[in-house]
Amino acid sequence: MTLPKSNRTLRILLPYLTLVFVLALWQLVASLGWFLPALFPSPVDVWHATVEMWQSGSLFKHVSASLMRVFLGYLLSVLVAVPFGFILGQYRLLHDALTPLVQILRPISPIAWIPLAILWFGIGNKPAIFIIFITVFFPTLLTSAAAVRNIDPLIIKSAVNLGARNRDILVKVVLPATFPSIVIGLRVTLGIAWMIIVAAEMVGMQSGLGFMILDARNFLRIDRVVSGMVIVGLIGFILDRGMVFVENVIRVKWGYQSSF
Amino acid sequence: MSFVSNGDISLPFDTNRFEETMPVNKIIVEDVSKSYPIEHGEKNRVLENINLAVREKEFLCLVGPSGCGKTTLINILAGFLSPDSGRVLIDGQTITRPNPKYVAVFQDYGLFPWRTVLKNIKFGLEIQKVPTEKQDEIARSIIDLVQLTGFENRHPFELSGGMKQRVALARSLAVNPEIVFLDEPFNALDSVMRTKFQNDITTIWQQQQKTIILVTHDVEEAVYLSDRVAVMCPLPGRIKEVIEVDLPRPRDRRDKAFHCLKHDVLKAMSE
Repeated sequence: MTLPKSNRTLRILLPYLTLVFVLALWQLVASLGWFLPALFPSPVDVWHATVEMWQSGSLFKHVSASLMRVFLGYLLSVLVAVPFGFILGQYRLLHDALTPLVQILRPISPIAWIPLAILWFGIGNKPAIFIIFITVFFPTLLTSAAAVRNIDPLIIKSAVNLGARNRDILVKVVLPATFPSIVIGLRVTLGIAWMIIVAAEMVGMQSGLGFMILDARNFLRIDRVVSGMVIVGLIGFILDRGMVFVENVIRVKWGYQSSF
Repeated sequence: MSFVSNGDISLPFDTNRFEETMPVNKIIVEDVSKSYPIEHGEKNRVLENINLAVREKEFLCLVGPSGCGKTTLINILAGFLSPDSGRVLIDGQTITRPNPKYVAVFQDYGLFPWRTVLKNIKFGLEIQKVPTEKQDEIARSIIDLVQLTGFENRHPFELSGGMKQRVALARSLAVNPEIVFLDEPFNALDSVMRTKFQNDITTIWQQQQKTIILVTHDVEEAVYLSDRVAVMCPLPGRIKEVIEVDLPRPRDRRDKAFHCLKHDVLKAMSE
């Protein structure tokens, strides 16, 4: 659909205009003096707090701690859950045998695993990585199992008839056929993992953005609290865009039409 | 005649394609039965004592109403199902599993939706690790043959039913099979496209020298296309009669002999 040029420019600018508007509104409310500045910092205050934390090096330390935990936990979990999901999707009996167990474990909030995680893995990155692993594991397992079950049997039949063996079927049929549905799950779970890591760091870690926010609260530095929140949001946004980009690269490589 | 036995070979061919070689039996179906369990321990006898011999490079149509086991028979011939009793020999070997030498094209195409037309056609060649240039060469000639030129880079969802059917056929022909099984290939087509595709299939068959077994419920189509028509009946699924179509090609649907044969097939079906 082609829009008139002025309309197109508007559509590109609109999201930024919204942000500017909200920032301006926030600044206005803060400067009206309705709230204590210590409890309702203005965007300018938050910006100063951010610069301050950046210059001290603490911001970089916490951001990289959180990112590293999410990446490792996410990667490990995907590498285990997707193949396991494929197996589960293929063997009806195994699927039936494990379904009740999975369905009982799945609703347990990953945060509820923290006490165990700390007792099992001690202090440091390991319990956090474990929490992310748990967060990502069950949804990814179920998505990939369902994706395999939903492959059109005729596609497999055709591939077999054309001479495909197990390896070919996995690489040339199952992976590309399940990709679109799995990748949607992966994108959602990355977002969830990023939310969970902040909560996990508030409860049981000594570093990371969650810890940083909680630590700032303890010193009543609400400007830093809000700064931490905004940074969590921005990084979450960037992670999601990154997933979309990677998804698109693989899509095109396997011959799907780019969806964007 | 309730079935064609192994030795019952006459030479009804209209073309002189086989003047040098005696036709040999490519496929022999011996006493094949297949049933599926339904409720209360009863069995649905889908196929009962099927006997059939298909000659090398023959065009044979399986015709019959729905539920007569045509598709099941194709699945057994192509090695996707094993019969409860009896056996299927292709080139003297019992068929136990699917083989790229005997390729089936199914009603719903089974195309790879993420692959373009070209990449769909190349699938079997990739599996066989054919060198890339050779793949291109084969794919291009097959695309010419099935008239898909200009659609190489389309995805299946962009194509009409008829085009998808052509891609499925092209993908099968690319691996140079000896036998092609076609399960109701013209179902999704309107009558004009249907006629055109019937002629194209005939041309492809004549050029490529394949054995073709085509399933249809359309009697005229069966008579138009095949060397012989095997008439199937349901409950239990069986071959009722095999009728020779001794008409020269290209065939004329208005021809009196054509109508007679069509009538014979219809009569066999309704008896």
